[in-house]
Amino acid sequence: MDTSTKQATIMLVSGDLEKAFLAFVIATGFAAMGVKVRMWFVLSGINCVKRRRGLLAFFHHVARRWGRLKHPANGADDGFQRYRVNATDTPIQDVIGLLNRGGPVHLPLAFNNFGGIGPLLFDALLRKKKIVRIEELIQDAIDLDVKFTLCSICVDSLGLAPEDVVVPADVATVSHYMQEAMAAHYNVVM
Amino acid sequence: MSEADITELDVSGMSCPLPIVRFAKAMRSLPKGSLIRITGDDPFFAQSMHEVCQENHCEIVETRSEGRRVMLLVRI
Repeated sequence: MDTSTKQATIMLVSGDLEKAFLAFVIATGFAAMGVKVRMWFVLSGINCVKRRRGLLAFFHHVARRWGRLKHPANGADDGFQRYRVNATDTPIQDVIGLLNRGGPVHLPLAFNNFGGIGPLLFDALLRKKKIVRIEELIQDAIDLDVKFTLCSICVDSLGLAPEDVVVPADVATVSHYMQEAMAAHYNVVM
Repeated sequence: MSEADITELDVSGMSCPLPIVRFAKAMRSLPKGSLIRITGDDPFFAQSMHEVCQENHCEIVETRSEGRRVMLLVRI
């Protein structure tokens, strides 16, 4: 395969199943065509790749945070210190994290959600028609070297870390997005 | 080129975009110039493979079809 210089950026703002599905179909399609693809996840879009945590993880997270607040030296070598300002963390972040757990297989539909029954129908339809589902598409995107980036504002405000998402992601700011978007031949925000 | 040098890839039953994703994965794992025989039965399989091969500068050496099933021999 030749080293192509074509680039594409896909920014996912929405946490709806249809849009996430479409974003990953476009990303894998571009990657199969030999285009360098970078996906950006901002705001609710992070829900599409978030690792779904249970109640136990919530308490573990809170305990770790309180331990770090009492003894700041404990968290000095913590991995996500690099991306975040831990000094301004509040318990609101933990509450939001508990209420908004996300996860690629738990996304709602924007239309005809029917309180969670819509996505089940959608999933049954895709299984019956043997069409690829979003969890397989995410794995395919990783295998095809699609790059994933999280918005630094979201990572800071929601108290996330790169290991809280199911894809190997890095964290970048708006200037990096501008640079990538201007260099790209295709840029979409959905 | 003998039959043994051809990598078989069966994407029957898969629909868009899985055939081209599987093909792209196989293409990455094999050296340039090797042959892949890819078999699929999606209605748009042949068309999408032609487009992917055009973008990736691959050559479709041979095309065979049996009903819905299309077999393409691709030199990557």
